[in-house]
Amino acid sequence: MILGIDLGTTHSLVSYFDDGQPCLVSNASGQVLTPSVVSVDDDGTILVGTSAKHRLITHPDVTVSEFKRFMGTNKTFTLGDHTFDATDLSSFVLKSLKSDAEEHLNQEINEVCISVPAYFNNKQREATKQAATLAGFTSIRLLNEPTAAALAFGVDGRQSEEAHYIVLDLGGGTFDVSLLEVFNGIFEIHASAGDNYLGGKDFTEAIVQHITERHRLDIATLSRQDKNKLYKAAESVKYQLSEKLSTGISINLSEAAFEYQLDLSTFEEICEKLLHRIKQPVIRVLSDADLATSSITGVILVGGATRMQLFRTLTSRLFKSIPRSDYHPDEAIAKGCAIQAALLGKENAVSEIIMTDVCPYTLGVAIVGRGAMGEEFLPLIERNSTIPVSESRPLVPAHPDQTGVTIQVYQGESFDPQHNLFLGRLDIDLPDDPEKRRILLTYTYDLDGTLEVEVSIPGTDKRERAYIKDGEAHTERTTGKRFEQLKHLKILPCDQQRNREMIARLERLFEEYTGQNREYIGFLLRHFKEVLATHNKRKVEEAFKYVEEELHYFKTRELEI
Amino acid sequence: MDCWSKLGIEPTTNKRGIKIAYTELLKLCRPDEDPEGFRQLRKAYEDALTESRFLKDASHPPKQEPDTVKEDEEPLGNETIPAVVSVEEITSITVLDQALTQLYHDVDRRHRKENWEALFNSPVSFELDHARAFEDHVVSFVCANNLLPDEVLTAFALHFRFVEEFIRFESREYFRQAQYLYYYLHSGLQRLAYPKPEILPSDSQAHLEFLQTRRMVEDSIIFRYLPPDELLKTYQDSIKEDHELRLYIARYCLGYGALEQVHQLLDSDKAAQVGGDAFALLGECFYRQRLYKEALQHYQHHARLCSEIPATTSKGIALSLAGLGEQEAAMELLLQLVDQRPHDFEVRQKLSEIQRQKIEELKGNTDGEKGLQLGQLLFDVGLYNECMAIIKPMKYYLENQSNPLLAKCYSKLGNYVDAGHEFYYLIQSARLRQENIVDLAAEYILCCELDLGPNQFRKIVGPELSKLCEAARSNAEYAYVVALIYTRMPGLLKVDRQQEADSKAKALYFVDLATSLAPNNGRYHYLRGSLMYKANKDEEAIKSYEIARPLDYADYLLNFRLGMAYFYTKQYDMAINRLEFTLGLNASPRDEYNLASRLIICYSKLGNAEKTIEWLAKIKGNEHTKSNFAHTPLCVLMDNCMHLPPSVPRFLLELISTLENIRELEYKQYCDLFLLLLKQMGDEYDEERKQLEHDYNSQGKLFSH
Repeated sequence: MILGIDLGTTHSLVSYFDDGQPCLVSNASGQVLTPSVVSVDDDGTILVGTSAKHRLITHPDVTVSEFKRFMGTNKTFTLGDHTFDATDLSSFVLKSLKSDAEEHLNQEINEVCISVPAYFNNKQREATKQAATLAGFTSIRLLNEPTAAALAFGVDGRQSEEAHYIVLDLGGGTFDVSLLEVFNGIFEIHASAGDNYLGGKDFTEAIVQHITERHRLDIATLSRQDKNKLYKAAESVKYQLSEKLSTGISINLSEAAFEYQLDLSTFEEICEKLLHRIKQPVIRVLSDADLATSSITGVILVGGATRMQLFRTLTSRLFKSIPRSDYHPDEAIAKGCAIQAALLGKENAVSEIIMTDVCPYTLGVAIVGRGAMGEEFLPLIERNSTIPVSESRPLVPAHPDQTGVTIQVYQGESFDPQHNLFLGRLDIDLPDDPEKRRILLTYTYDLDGTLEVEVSIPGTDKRERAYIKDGEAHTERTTGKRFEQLKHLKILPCDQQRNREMIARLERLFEEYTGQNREYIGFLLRHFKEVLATHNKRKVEEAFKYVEEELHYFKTRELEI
Repeated sequence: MDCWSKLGIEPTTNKRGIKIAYTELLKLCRPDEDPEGFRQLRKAYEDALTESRFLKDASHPPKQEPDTVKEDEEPLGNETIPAVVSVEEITSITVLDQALTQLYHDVDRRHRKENWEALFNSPVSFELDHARAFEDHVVSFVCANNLLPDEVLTAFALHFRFVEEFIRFESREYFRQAQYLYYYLHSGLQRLAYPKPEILPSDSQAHLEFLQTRRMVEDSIIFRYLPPDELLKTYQDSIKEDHELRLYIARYCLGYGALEQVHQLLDSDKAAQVGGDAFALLGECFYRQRLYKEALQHYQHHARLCSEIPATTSKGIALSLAGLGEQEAAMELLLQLVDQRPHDFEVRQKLSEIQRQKIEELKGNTDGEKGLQLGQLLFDVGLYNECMAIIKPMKYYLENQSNPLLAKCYSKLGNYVDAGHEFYYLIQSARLRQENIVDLAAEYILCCELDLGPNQFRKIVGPELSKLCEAARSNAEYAYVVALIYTRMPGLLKVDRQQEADSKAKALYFVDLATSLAPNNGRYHYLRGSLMYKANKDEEAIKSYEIARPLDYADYLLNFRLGMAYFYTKQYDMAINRLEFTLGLNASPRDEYNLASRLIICYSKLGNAEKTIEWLAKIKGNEHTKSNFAHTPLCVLMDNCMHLPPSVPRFLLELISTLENIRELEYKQYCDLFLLLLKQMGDEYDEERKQLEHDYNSQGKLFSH
């Protein structure tokens, strides 16, 4: 059995393939969406998911979310006594999903297919793989998110013999565009492009900025609670504008209280820059694939933020057709991962399908500029080449007396190597015979997204080979060491998660309400904690039910976060 | 095995057929099971798709070009642009063009980036099918008209993600401009060193007087405060006849797009009186009004008046000819011009337009004379891969004709190994036929200069050298080639000192010959500049480099050497200009140090204490300063500093104390010098001197190591 995991910026899902179709696994609290939030409890236990998400408001110092944006960077988060990087945090989420799935399927599973944004570069992919290793997986495959979404739609059986689908994936923090061609049973991903730093969050941010500008607030001087209120209000305005033309909300801050109104056209105005950033990758994909809008069979929207009316208007304007979203946008990617897992596991139901993917960025080498302008970037594998791919190029040393060359491997689209991402280097000694001083450089990019660089010197049997991963930072040894370190951390077991979640929820509500309501919630919280301390299973169960019923009353007024 | 047999089908233009063959075979070699097999299949598939585009097939009529191109060519009519195009109205590329032009000439609005950004987001930008054309249009327009404030250029670069996605622009026609702009935006230097007038005259009369005193100032800064009709009126009302100024105002009006005013200022008679470039100016005016016949007449008249036809005039003639539909003649002229004006966007655009037309006409021919012609055209517009697809099957035909097109394709694609082989075959077979292979040898040198090895040199070039030299006496290109050969020779063959000196002298001789035969060619001058520079003939190097500079503004070596040459010839202000620019072009720390230490000397020679100290402070942290500064620059500097205020020598002494390998004795010398200086300066620096003497004697504070 191979699992499929959608490791998202805001939510993560886990899935598997069974009986000819992908199935999603629910977590301990009965939901398929597990928030990608990690928190550290007072006693040092690691909390993941909904319980951690509640603590985002009550204990923001020891809780962190949206760390996916920092994958592959050196940024660290300090939670209480611990310091983690994004890889560690992701590994907690993966571990939690893994145990959910193992619980559900009653078996140990060590193989996984994880989705990553198409625009994740080599470093970010490597970090994701490392997180999976830390979570205890032994065999890991990565899949581009839009490819996964496209697979979910394509395998659905609703496609015709020949079709072009364009997949727009606007998630919480990333935006991906890709083009899927279905032809004669072959799924071919044609081109993909995207923006690593654009997502639903940016639209919320735009509204917050609009509020603060209009009501002359200074976000920097607001208290933590006020800030949270403001963001929540902005988010709810954003959600409401998906259904209504205009909306209003009253915002009560400690220093000011006001009514805030926003209509769709103003929203469009304040998001103009963001909408333009959506347009750019779409244009690029279409022109890379040399396709006119009329030959697009369907536009598929995935990712929670594509529910925005604003986004839908833009896409129908761009493609002159109504986009499809008959699949649940949050679930498509996870289902696609399960299908890919099935393909890997050679399940009978999918034996007819062949999928080819592309390399979403250009890989090349720095050379001495022809015009003596310093270094230039020479592309070897152009972006959107179908993988696996292998390209070679003869190169000569810049100076005839040179005795060695340095191959500097870069990824990116800029002419100046400095603006591209440096992946690694390889130093080669040249032969003494000046006649033979030329090299043949070969790049091989495999299905997994690993780049192999080979340098050979024609006329001799000299060959040098290197696998470009993330420099020296992530060698096998350091991963193992980190694995040992993290092993000592206690992650809350599945069966206790539900109760922990209830406490977190009550704590949050306690902060939110005032007066009588607050007192009452305080009473519930005390009561529930007391019962928990008795460790009496039956009593805990009763108390849980009781509290849940009581909370039902609040639920109508509570904004689910 | 060619791609068709790999796919198991006959050559076809039917894309579906190719695709079906591919997908069927794919089931046999899945990418995850048989990566190598898949790679080969994929390559065959992609090759087949490329080749299919150039196969002759009667059942498929030539593809209709997208309408955007046609829209482009529609005549605008006689300047019937509506007064102001509002952003909402921009629904087609034609209207966008108008809006761009209008905004560019709108003095009040063009300097605000918001106005440009509004155009970027106009309705036409939502037409995905025209997105490429839209982007091409805006970017090429801004590239061609880059006399805009930095703010605007930066906004545009950010909007089109210009810096991040540079490669995307590489295949476009405006590549050179884009590259230039890229370096401009990145150098972080005020490259456009237009001096802004300190006091701006308020009324028109004063404005004109101001102009008369400062003719040399570029127009764009001063004139933008005064609309052309007002300027014209003021000129006609109050000023005595002044030919030069009349021409100047006319040129400005033309740049502004006020064609009516140009005609008021100049007609054929007036142009004859005014002289100078008046006829060329009128020609351009007519050309812009799309009166090509008149334009051609005026341009040709101007050409007759000149002893040597300026490039701008030939360009006018060529463009007018193209306007009149005389494509062949226009193309011939344009081809010559491209060499002379590598940065001229219009020339390139027009040329490639004509070439593309011809490609369309010839499409489908894959053999014989016409196929060759098509290949040549594809090569000219830079579609090297497509050109290869056409001419590769014609390899033997080419060999018989001694045509190096295939070899040139290889070299353009960076494959020097195959290019070298091709040339070798070509030359061998031509030798067998006992043909003259001078041409081929010259082409070979030009194509593979960077990749030349001693063996090729002996086999291919050696035997032809004497013939090449003979031909060089009347042909600039040959002279250039010979100069190149002699420049490279000492590096390639083992030569003794005498031979090396000989080669150098010969290289100089031939490059001089080349530049005297074709005085405006940038490439020749680039080589001449380098040779002169190496031979320490700085004046000559400056002359050549200045001519070569438009070829590649951002060339590091050129700017560096030019700066140095100015420095050696003691033209310090020019040297500063160049050296500071060079520093912006990604100089290595070592070069940075070299450049900066020259700059310090320049500024100190010019007596600019502030700048001297500024640059001294900058090199203080450079790693090369510690080990190198003690030698040459310091002595020169110390001498020069003496006529600057004491702040400079003091700073310098501080710097010296941080240097590594300076001897105590030397340090004492410098201190003595400085003390002497302070004494000469008189009593007001007495305290300073005492302080220094004290420090010096106690040997602690200043002399730290």
